[in-house]
Amino acid sequence: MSVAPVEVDPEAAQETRAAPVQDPVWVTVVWNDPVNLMSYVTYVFTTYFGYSKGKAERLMREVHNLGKAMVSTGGREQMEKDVAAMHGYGLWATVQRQDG
Amino acid sequence: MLQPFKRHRRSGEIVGAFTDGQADVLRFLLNGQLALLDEEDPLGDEPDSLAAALGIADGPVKKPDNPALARLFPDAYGDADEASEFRRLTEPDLREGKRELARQVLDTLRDYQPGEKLALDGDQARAWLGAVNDIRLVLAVWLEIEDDDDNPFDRIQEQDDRYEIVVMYHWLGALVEWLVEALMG
Repeated sequence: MSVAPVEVDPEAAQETRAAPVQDPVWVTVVWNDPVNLMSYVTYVFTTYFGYSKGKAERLMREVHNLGKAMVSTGGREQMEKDVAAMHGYGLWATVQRQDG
Repeated sequence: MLQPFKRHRRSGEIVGAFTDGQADVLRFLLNGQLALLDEEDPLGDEPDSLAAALGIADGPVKKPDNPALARLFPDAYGDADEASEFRRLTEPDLREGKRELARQVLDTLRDYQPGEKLALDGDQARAWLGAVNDIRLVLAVWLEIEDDDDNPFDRIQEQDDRYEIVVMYHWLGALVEWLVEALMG
Protein backbone atom coordinates (compact mmCIF):
# COMPACT_ATOMS: atom_id res chain seq x y z
CA MET A 1 0.00 0.00 0.00
CA SER A 2 1.18 3.54 -0.65
CA VAL A 3 -0.04 7.08 -0.18
CA ALA A 4 0.54 10.20 -2.23
CA PRO A 5 3.46 12.35 -1.02
CA VAL A 6 2.40 15.28 1.16
CA GLU A 7 3.97 18.75 1.18
CA VAL A 8 5.61 19.22 4.57
CA ASP A 9 6.44 22.54 6.21
CA PRO A 10 10.03 21.90 7.51
CA GLU A 11 9.52 24.02 10.64
CA ALA A 12 6.29 22.24 11.59
CA ALA A 13 7.99 18.92 11.01
CA GLN A 14 10.79 19.91 13.39
CA GLU A 15 8.31 20.76 16.12
CA THR A 16 6.72 17.36 15.78
CA ARG A 17 10.07 15.69 15.96
CA ALA A 18 10.97 17.53 19.17
CA ALA A 19 8.42 15.54 21.19
CA PRO A 20 10.70 13.82 23.75
CA VAL A 21 8.58 10.93 24.97
CA GLN A 22 8.21 7.87 22.79
CA ASP A 23 5.73 5.21 23.85
CA PRO A 24 7.00 1.65 23.63
CA VAL A 25 5.80 -0.17 20.54
CA TRP A 26 3.70 -3.28 21.03
CA VAL A 27 2.76 -5.89 18.48
CA THR A 28 -0.05 -8.34 17.82
CA VAL A 29 1.35 -11.74 16.88
CA VAL A 30 -0.84 -14.38 15.20
CA TRP A 31 0.42 -17.98 15.55
CA ASN A 32 -0.07 -20.88 13.17
CA ASP A 33 -2.62 -23.51 14.11
CA PRO A 34 -3.58 -26.65 12.19
CA VAL A 35 -7.32 -25.92 12.13
CA ASN A 36 -8.14 -22.44 10.83
CA LEU A 37 -8.36 -22.51 7.04
CA MET A 38 -6.07 -20.28 4.99
CA SER A 39 -9.07 -18.63 3.32
CA TYR A 40 -10.62 -17.90 6.73
CA VAL A 41 -7.42 -16.33 8.11
CA THR A 42 -7.22 -14.10 5.02
CA TYR A 43 -10.88 -13.16 5.52
CA VAL A 44 -10.18 -12.16 9.15
CA PHE A 45 -7.20 -9.95 8.21
CA THR A 46 -9.16 -8.13 5.51
CA THR A 47 -12.33 -7.82 7.59
CA TYR A 48 -10.89 -6.74 10.93
CA PHE A 49 -7.78 -4.78 9.92
CA GLY A 50 -9.10 -3.58 6.57
CA TYR A 51 -5.96 -4.88 4.83
CA SER A 52 -5.99 -5.39 1.07
CA LYS A 53 -6.47 -8.98 -0.05
CA GLY A 54 -2.80 -9.08 -1.15
CA LYS A 55 -1.48 -7.92 2.21
CA ALA A 56 -3.84 -10.22 4.10
CA GLU A 57 -2.70 -13.20 2.01
CA ARG A 58 0.97 -12.34 2.52
CA LEU A 59 0.48 -12.22 6.30
CA MET A 60 -1.55 -15.45 6.23
CA ARG A 61 1.30 -17.21 4.35
CA GLU A 62 3.82 -15.85 6.84
CA VAL A 63 1.75 -17.35 9.68
CA HIS A 64 1.41 -20.63 7.80
CA ASN A 65 5.03 -20.98 6.65
CA LEU A 66 6.98 -19.35 9.49
CA GLY A 67 4.65 -20.26 12.35
CA LYS A 68 3.74 -16.69 13.24
CA ALA A 69 3.43 -13.14 11.92
CA MET A 70 3.22 -9.63 13.33
CA VAL A 71 -0.13 -8.45 12.07
CA SER A 72 -0.37 -5.04 13.77
CA THR A 73 1.78 -2.64 15.78
CA GLY A 74 0.97 0.28 18.04
CA GLY A 75 0.18 1.19 21.63
CA ARG A 76 -0.42 -1.53 24.18
CA GLU A 77 -4.11 -0.78 24.59
CA GLN A 78 -4.76 -1.02 20.84
CA MET A 79 -2.78 -4.28 20.61
CA GLU A 80 -4.82 -5.80 23.43
CA LYS A 81 -7.95 -4.76 21.56
CA ASP A 82 -6.60 -6.40 18.39
CA VAL A 83 -5.65 -9.61 20.20
CA ALA A 84 -9.07 -9.84 21.85
CA ALA A 85 -10.63 -9.38 18.40
CA MET A 86 -8.43 -12.16 16.96
CA HIS A 87 -9.58 -14.46 19.80
CA GLY A 88 -13.13 -13.46 18.94
CA TYR A 89 -12.49 -14.75 15.40
CA GLY A 90 -10.89 -17.93 16.76
CA LEU A 91 -7.29 -17.09 15.79
CA TRP A 92 -4.47 -17.77 18.24
CA ALA A 93 -2.89 -14.37 19.00
CA THR A 94 -0.63 -12.83 21.64
CA VAL A 95 0.50 -9.32 22.67
CA GLN A 96 4.18 -8.58 23.06
CA ARG A 97 6.61 -5.68 23.16
CA GLN A 98 8.40 -5.20 19.89
CA ASP A 99 11.86 -6.78 20.21
CA GLY A 100 10.72 -7.87 23.66
CA MET B 1 -25.54 -30.17 1.95
CA LEU B 2 -28.01 -29.78 -0.86
CA GLN B 3 -26.56 -26.50 -2.00
CA PRO B 4 -23.35 -24.82 -0.92
CA PHE B 5 -23.72 -21.25 0.27
CA LYS B 6 -23.68 -18.82 -2.62
CA ARG B 7 -24.18 -15.09 -2.92
CA HIS B 8 -27.36 -14.29 -4.83
CA ARG B 9 -26.36 -11.74 -7.44
CA ARG B 10 -29.41 -9.54 -7.36
CA SER B 11 -30.45 -9.58 -3.71
CA GLY B 12 -26.92 -9.86 -2.27
CA GLU B 13 -28.24 -12.53 0.10
CA ILE B 14 -26.16 -15.58 0.84
CA VAL B 15 -28.30 -18.61 0.12
CA GLY B 16 -27.83 -22.24 1.13
CA ALA B 17 -29.96 -25.30 1.80
CA PHE B 18 -29.75 -28.21 4.22
CA THR B 19 -31.18 -31.66 4.60
CA ASP B 20 -33.14 -32.67 7.68
CA GLY B 21 -30.14 -34.41 9.19
CA GLN B 22 -27.78 -31.52 8.52
CA ALA B 23 -30.03 -28.93 10.16
CA ASP B 24 -30.39 -31.18 13.22
CA VAL B 25 -26.64 -31.73 13.47
CA LEU B 26 -26.10 -27.97 13.33
CA ARG B 27 -28.66 -27.31 16.08
CA PHE B 28 -27.09 -30.06 18.21
CA LEU B 29 -23.59 -28.61 17.76
CA LEU B 30 -24.73 -25.02 18.43
CA ASN B 31 -26.52 -26.00 21.64
CA GLY B 32 -23.44 -27.94 22.70
CA GLN B 33 -21.34 -24.84 22.03
CA LEU B 34 -23.64 -22.70 24.21
CA ALA B 35 -23.34 -25.24 27.05
CA LEU B 36 -19.55 -25.28 26.69
CA LEU B 37 -19.36 -21.47 26.82
CA ASP B 38 -21.15 -21.53 30.21
CA GLU B 39 -18.51 -23.85 31.73
CA GLU B 40 -15.84 -22.31 34.00
CA ASP B 41 -17.40 -18.86 33.52
CA PRO B 42 -15.01 -16.18 34.86
CA LEU B 43 -18.00 -14.21 36.17
CA GLY B 44 -18.55 -17.23 38.42
CA ASP B 45 -21.19 -17.01 41.11
CA GLU B 46 -21.69 -13.27 40.90
CA PRO B 47 -23.05 -12.64 37.44
CA ASP B 48 -25.03 -9.66 38.82
CA SER B 49 -22.09 -7.77 40.36
CA LEU B 50 -21.11 -4.31 39.11
CA ALA B 51 -17.90 -5.68 37.59
CA ALA B 52 -19.91 -8.34 35.76
CA ALA B 53 -22.24 -5.64 34.45
CA LEU B 54 -19.16 -3.95 32.99
CA GLY B 55 -18.08 -7.21 31.40
CA ILE B 56 -15.06 -7.81 33.64
CA ALA B 57 -14.38 -10.40 36.33
CA ASP B 58 -13.81 -9.44 40.00
CA GLY B 59 -10.68 -11.45 40.64
CA PRO B 60 -7.84 -13.13 38.73
CA VAL B 61 -8.98 -15.49 35.95
CA LYS B 62 -6.99 -18.62 35.19
CA LYS B 63 -6.78 -20.48 31.90
CA PRO B 64 -9.78 -22.84 31.60
CA ASP B 65 -9.13 -26.52 32.47
CA ASN B 66 -11.32 -27.70 29.59
CA PRO B 67 -8.90 -27.79 26.62
CA ALA B 68 -11.65 -26.71 24.21
CA LEU B 69 -12.24 -23.52 26.22
CA ALA B 70 -8.48 -23.02 26.52
CA ARG B 71 -8.33 -23.11 22.71
CA LEU B 72 -11.18 -20.61 22.29
CA PHE B 73 -9.61 -18.32 24.91
CA PRO B 74 -5.83 -18.74 24.63
CA ASP B 75 -3.31 -16.88 26.81
CA ALA B 76 -2.64 -13.44 25.34
CA TYR B 77 0.70 -13.04 27.16
CA GLY B 78 3.60 -15.33 27.96
CA ASP B 79 3.64 -13.92 31.49
CA ALA B 80 1.05 -15.67 33.69
CA ASP B 81 -0.01 -12.55 35.63
CA GLU B 82 -0.45 -10.48 32.49
CA ALA B 83 -2.34 -13.32 30.84
CA SER B 84 -4.66 -13.55 33.85
CA GLU B 85 -5.31 -9.80 33.88
CA PHE B 86 -6.09 -9.88 30.14
CA ARG B 87 -8.57 -12.68 30.79
CA ARG B 88 -10.17 -10.74 33.63
CA LEU B 89 -10.77 -7.76 31.34
CA THR B 90 -11.72 -9.55 28.13
CA GLU B 91 -12.93 -13.13 28.61
CA PRO B 92 -16.47 -12.35 29.80
CA ASP B 93 -17.14 -10.20 26.71
CA LEU B 94 -15.46 -12.71 24.39
CA ARG B 95 -17.62 -15.50 25.79
CA GLU B 96 -20.75 -13.42 25.35
CA GLY B 97 -19.72 -12.57 21.79
CA LYS B 98 -19.35 -16.25 20.96
CA ARG B 99 -22.66 -17.11 22.65
CA GLU B 100 -24.32 -14.40 20.58
CA LEU B 101 -22.95 -15.89 17.34
CA ALA B 102 -24.37 -19.31 18.23
CA ARG B 103 -27.72 -17.80 19.22
CA GLN B 104 -27.96 -15.83 15.96
CA VAL B 105 -27.35 -18.97 13.93
CA LEU B 106 -29.93 -20.93 15.94
CA ASP B 107 -32.39 -18.07 15.25
CA THR B 108 -31.88 -18.41 11.49
CA LEU B 109 -32.62 -22.15 11.81
CA ARG B 110 -35.65 -21.76 14.10
CA ASP B 111 -38.37 -22.04 11.45
CA TYR B 112 -36.19 -23.65 8.84
CA GLN B 113 -37.76 -26.47 6.87
CA PRO B 114 -35.23 -28.95 5.46
CA GLY B 115 -34.82 -28.69 1.71
CA GLU B 116 -35.96 -25.06 1.66
CA LYS B 117 -33.60 -22.26 0.77
CA LEU B 118 -32.02 -20.49 3.72
CA ALA B 119 -31.28 -16.85 2.82
CA LEU B 120 -28.87 -14.94 5.05
CA ASP B 121 -28.05 -11.23 5.07
CA GLY B 122 -24.43 -10.15 5.56
CA ASP B 123 -24.61 -9.98 9.38
CA GLN B 124 -26.25 -13.39 9.60
CA ALA B 125 -23.70 -14.92 7.24
CA ARG B 126 -20.84 -13.45 9.33
CA ALA B 127 -22.46 -14.92 12.48
CA TRP B 128 -22.67 -18.30 10.74
CA LEU B 129 -19.03 -18.12 9.72
CA GLY B 130 -17.88 -17.20 13.25
CA ALA B 131 -20.02 -19.81 15.00
CA VAL B 132 -19.18 -22.62 12.59
CA ASN B 133 -15.47 -21.80 12.81
CA ASP B 134 -15.60 -21.80 16.63
CA ILE B 135 -17.32 -25.21 16.66
CA ARG B 136 -14.70 -26.52 14.26
CA LEU B 137 -11.95 -25.40 16.66
CA VAL B 138 -13.66 -27.30 19.47
CA LEU B 139 -14.10 -30.50 17.41
CA ALA B 140 -10.40 -30.31 16.47
CA VAL B 141 -9.52 -30.37 20.18
CA TRP B 142 -11.60 -33.54 20.68
CA LEU B 143 -9.93 -35.05 17.60
CA GLU B 144 -6.48 -34.01 18.91
CA ILE B 145 -5.49 -32.34 15.64
CA GLU B 146 -2.14 -30.79 16.43
CA ASP B 147 -0.29 -30.77 13.15
CA ASP B 148 -0.87 -29.09 9.75
CA ASP B 149 -0.49 -32.42 7.94
CA ASP B 150 -2.78 -34.37 10.26
CA ASN B 151 -5.89 -35.55 8.42
CA PRO B 152 -8.04 -37.32 11.04
CA PHE B 153 -9.61 -39.49 8.32
CA ASP B 154 -6.20 -41.20 8.05
CA ARG B 155 -6.17 -42.42 11.65
CA ILE B 156 -9.80 -42.55 12.80
CA GLN B 157 -11.65 -45.46 11.18
CA GLU B 158 -15.35 -45.91 10.56
CA GLN B 159 -15.83 -48.17 13.61
CA ASP B 160 -14.22 -45.57 15.92
CA ASP B 161 -16.56 -43.64 18.25
CA ARG B 162 -15.08 -40.40 17.00
CA TYR B 163 -15.65 -41.12 13.32
CA GLU B 164 -18.85 -39.03 13.19
CA ILE B 165 -16.96 -36.10 14.69
CA VAL B 166 -14.41 -36.39 11.88
CA VAL B 167 -17.23 -36.27 9.32
CA MET B 168 -18.75 -33.20 10.99
CA TYR B 169 -15.34 -31.54 11.24
CA HIS B 170 -14.79 -31.85 7.50
CA TRP B 171 -18.30 -30.76 6.65
CA LEU B 172 -17.95 -27.64 8.83
CA GLY B 173 -14.68 -26.92 7.01
CA ALA B 174 -16.56 -26.94 3.72
CA LEU B 175 -19.19 -24.59 5.20
CA VAL B 176 -16.41 -22.19 6.26
CA GLU B 177 -14.92 -22.23 2.75
CA TRP B 178 -18.28 -21.56 1.11
CA LEU B 179 -19.17 -18.76 3.51
CA VAL B 180 -15.78 -17.05 3.13
CA GLU B 181 -16.09 -17.24 -0.65
CA ALA B 182 -19.63 -15.88 -0.57
CA LEU B 183 -18.65 -13.03 1.79
CA MET B 184 -15.42 -12.03 0.02
CA GLY B 185 -16.35 -12.83 -3.58
